[in-house]
Amino acid sequence: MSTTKPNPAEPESRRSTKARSAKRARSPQETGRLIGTSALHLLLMVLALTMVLPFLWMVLTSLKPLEEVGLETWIPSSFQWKNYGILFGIGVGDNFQFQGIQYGRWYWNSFFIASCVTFLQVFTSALAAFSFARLDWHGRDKVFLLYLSTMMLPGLVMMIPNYQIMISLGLVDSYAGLIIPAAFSAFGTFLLRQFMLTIPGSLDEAAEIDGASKWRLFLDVILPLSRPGLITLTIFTFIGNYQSFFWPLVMLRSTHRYTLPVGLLTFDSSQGEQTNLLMAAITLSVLPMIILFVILQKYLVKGIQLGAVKG
Amino acid sequence: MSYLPSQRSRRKLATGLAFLGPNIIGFMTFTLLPLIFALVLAFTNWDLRLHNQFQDEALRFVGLENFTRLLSEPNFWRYLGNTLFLMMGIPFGIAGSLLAAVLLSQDLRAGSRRNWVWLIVGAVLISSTGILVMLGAQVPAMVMLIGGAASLILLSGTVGGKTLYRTLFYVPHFTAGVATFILWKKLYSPYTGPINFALSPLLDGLTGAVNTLPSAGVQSVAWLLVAGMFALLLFGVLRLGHWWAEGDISQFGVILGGVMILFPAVMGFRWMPLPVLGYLSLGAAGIAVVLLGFKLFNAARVFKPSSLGEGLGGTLMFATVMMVAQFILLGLTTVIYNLPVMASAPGGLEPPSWLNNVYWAKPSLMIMAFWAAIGSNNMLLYLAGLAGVPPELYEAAEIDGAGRFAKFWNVTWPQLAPVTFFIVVMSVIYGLQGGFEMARTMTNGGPAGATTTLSYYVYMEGFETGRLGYASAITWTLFGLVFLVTLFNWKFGNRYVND
Amino acid sequence: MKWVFATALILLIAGGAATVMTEPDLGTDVPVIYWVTDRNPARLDQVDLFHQWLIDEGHTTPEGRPIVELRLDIATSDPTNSKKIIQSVAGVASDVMDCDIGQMHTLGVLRDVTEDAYRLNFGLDQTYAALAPVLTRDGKQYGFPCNVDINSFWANVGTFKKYGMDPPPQNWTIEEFESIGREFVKRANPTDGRQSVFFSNTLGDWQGRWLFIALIRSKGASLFNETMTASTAGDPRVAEIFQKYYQWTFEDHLMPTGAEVSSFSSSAGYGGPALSLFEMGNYGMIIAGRWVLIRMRDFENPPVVQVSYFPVPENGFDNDVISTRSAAVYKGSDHPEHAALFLSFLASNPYNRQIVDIADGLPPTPAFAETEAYIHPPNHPNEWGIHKPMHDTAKNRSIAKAMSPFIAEGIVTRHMTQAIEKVLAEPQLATPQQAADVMAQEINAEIALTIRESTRLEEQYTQLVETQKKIDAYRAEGKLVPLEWISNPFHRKYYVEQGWALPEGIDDQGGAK
Repeated sequence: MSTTKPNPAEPESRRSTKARSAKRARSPQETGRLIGTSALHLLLMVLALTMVLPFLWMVLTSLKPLEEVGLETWIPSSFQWKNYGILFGIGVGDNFQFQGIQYGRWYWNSFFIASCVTFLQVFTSALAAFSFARLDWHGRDKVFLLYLSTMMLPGLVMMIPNYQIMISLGLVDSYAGLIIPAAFSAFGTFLLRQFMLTIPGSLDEAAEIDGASKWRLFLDVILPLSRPGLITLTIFTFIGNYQSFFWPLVMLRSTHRYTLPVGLLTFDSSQGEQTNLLMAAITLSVLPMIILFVILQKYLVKGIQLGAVKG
Repeated sequence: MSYLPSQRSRRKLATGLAFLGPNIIGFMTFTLLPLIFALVLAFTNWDLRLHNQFQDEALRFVGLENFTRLLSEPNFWRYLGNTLFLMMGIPFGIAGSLLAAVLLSQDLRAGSRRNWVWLIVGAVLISSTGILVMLGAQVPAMVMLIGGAASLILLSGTVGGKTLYRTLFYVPHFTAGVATFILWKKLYSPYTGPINFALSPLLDGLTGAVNTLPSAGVQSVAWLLVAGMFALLLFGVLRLGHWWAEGDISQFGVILGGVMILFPAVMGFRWMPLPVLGYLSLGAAGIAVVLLGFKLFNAARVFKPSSLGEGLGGTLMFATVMMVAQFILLGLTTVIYNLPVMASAPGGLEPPSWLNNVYWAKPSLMIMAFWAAIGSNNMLLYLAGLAGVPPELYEAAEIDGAGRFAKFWNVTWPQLAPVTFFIVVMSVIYGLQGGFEMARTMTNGGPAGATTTLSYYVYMEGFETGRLGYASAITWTLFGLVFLVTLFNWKFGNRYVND
Repeated sequence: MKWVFATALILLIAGGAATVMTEPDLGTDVPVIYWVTDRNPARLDQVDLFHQWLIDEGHTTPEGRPIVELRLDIATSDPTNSKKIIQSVAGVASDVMDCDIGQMHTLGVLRDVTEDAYRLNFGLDQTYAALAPVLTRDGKQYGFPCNVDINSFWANVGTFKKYGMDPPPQNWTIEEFESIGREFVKRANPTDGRQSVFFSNTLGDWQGRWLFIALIRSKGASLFNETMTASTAGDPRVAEIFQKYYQWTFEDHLMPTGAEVSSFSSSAGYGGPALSLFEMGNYGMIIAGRWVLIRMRDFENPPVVQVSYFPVPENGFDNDVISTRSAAVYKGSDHPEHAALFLSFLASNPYNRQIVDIADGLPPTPAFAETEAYIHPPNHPNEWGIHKPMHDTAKNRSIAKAMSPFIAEGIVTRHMTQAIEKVLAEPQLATPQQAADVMAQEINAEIALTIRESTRLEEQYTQLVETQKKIDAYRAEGKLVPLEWISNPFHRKYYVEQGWALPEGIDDQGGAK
């Protein structure tokens, strides 16, 4: 009986084997594995619980009436589902505090801008990473080091020159002004380069022997194999841009162009921090990120196809 | 590398740049240009208040003046110390995320369908029992809430497996920012927060125990710890010497590693609870230096290392671990030594006031950072990295008779090297630059500047006073530090990656 | 793989088109000016009032609509005002800004509205005299208040009665303050267990800073010297107040420590948790201004409140610190005339009446604070004890903060905060005298840096240092000092009251020279 670690990439074959041997008697290894995995589950549960607690707190707080927000009990005395309605202008009535909240619009803005940025960033970074990881040209490493070094400066000081550039390009208070500067990232390039470096060089040689051009190599070999890296970068970039605050704050002036983090400031009104509404807004805003993550994380670990390596 | 570009290398250059194209244009416009501007700025006295389109004051080049002022400003050193202190938690964070990734890559179905069913059944049993017990025992709402959540997680975990747990682990990252900070602020609340609520009975018990023991007994434990710390010191230094003799590391590596390992003992002079211990500490450091020097100059070198950076990566890791371990022992020594005194105080041992206490504010933030690091981007990176390890390598290791740990150390860890390199570099960069949002939301840089990091300082200087020239100088100094660290990592990373 | 990219691209382009097409049409045919202010729902009302006022005053288009449209630009709650600063410096700030006039003026981004004020009747004579130093620089006016405020101790009468005590008197000495406080704390808290009722809220926040300034002034000291060329924070009297803060927090337990504040479970809201704790009886008093009424009126049972001025030592100098949220006009504005119209609106009847009604601080024009509607708001009898004293203070005893042209206000605040934090830290990081000395040193170092970088300021500084020497000489000899020499608003008033100055005119506190 094989005792190798089960390969997560091949659940089907294992299952079919096991189906055939379902009536087999239980072996000591199998029981041992059951116990071990149970312990693992318990451990994971405890850890996951600590991870989830703030989220839980957030959701519960979003359902509290304002007076109860600071209290130590987590469970609201009465569940204020209407808080979510208020976000979209339902049930607002004449209450001044809730005027001017364009949550739906802001939501869309954040989502759209983050998507554009992610798309552009992944695209340009993949190209650049290929150049750094796979092509050999004069001064390559020095340029890469330059890229790396630029990541090390805090962005605050570059904020003003960047802002000036935006003004001269006429991109203040516009979507383009938020998308274009964020679409180029040394971080993305760095990340993808590291992933591409793990792909064996033998593939390149094989492709060259087959007479493929660099572009073909990139498109048909390296890119698909870098999928975990691409997916990771997508997740990082989307989430990072979705939550970015300072740059949109400075750039935007029209309320209908606000992104979510900037719009959330309106919940910090002079009427006081509407923490419950703020939590409701954040809870809802988290949804696209969760969905994106759940969909993509499967691909994250599919890993390199065995066939390619053997070739 | 020849400097006369041949036909072929020119073509390679063209291809290389072609791919780099879109990226580099954006890079130059939005990153490089402002960066150069910022660099120039650091040598001027640009002050927003004086030099803008509405004023007519002329900009002055002041050369290195900003930097000299920076270095003589005591607050700078203090904030730098804060930043470095907070960064000590980075290795733990990385280890945490690696552990989480490993855990989340295991087979959660216990290898067979049958087992899986058993798991689910077990989960159902435990959950329902738990809930019934809680309902019956009339526990407070919070306990019910947590118990209920735990059961739910367990149940869905057995069914949903890895996907569910991974999402749950990553959830804190989504709520990063406001919610997390507010929550942890509440958790740390000194008299009403859950952390101290749980700690109090434990500390009361400890007080009782300590008070019954003779204080000399307790303090002797402190002496033991000091001995342990010195043992580590000597061990670390001797190991370095041994590596040097074997030709595994260069002189530079020995010196750097040695400095790091000696650092706690030197600081012990200031931080030891007793002056005697302080002198002992210094003495131990001295002895270690002498030993090392002895080894360096007298031992016959068997092999010569091939380069300056030889073995640097491993050395740095080793030295870091030694240094941190010694610091931990040092801290424990101080605490335990003072334990009898603290325990006999009126209230006995009390839990600290965390964010409000000058000495505990930073560790509080570090604990929170560690928690956040477990389910963070680093975990994802490691997950992807782990998935990329070819299974044949594991099989080959098993054929060689490797156990679990050996498999990890010899197969997994080296395969993860590029990812680790990336994570370490990014963590250091982020660590040196960061702490801004955290400090601003949770403590406003307090109490009394205890949690102000360099990036917060830059923000204060840059925007409160408008002295962007000076702020720029600070960031470039920061940059210098980061660059150095990255350079080391680069040497290390290159070596492994080209395998 | 390629299909993923292609689909994504198409979707994004479609999304972009949709986004752009659904943008609301905000075009207008009249010029638009933007007002950067905080997000108080009353602002929306004020915008409407402004448009209505324009019509009433005849500033209309031929069709009878207002000649300019005012739109809100919600500022951040960022205490360092970085967005305003960045935008102003870059040339794209809003036309009207609620801001710290001194700070923005040193940036050079404010428009001189002295002439507009004269023409449109929103000059310094239209508002509280004490505000003159805040609104002007070098004799020129740069803004007008949106509202004014005074901070004092507000006592919850019910809480005091609960423990069998009379609410504190309106005027009191520091000794009386302490003895009443100790008695209160003793009666209100069980002998064992944690203390949950305090005399007043924590001194570690901004309220503590206002109180601090008032207290040192009551002893005759100030943070700056008479010409504001150097800091006198190292004065032993300043150290005494630091010592008082420590004593009140850690020895008398009149105010909570940082740890105790974090432990309060309280609800959020305007003015922070202090107001809720005040209502619930955890604080017998809080340091507050009229603006807390905005939230207090939302309570189901607002407490009956009474005002106690900040305590002064025996024979000390009665004073309070006047504050304001002021609007200024951006120098780079495209419509400066229209923006100036807004400032004129701030001095108008409908605006002032609204401020009185919604209790957003004191109205900018003092006359409105002497009306019956202000002193006895019909629906809020619990407040009748506070309105008149607040106005009286603002008119008679208040003085603006001393703001030196040689140092940014934010830096002064920062150093004061750090000093207070160090004294109140657990464990204490600096003794009161040390904290005071460090504060003085740091401020002076900053001043030195500032003048070194600006020739204009350096000239001004050198001249003023000469003047300062003369003042010191005169004081040493007991001669009367001409009032024109003194620019520190506190000293101007103090010298007059002490009889050390040659009077310049009747009650002139620093108007145009």
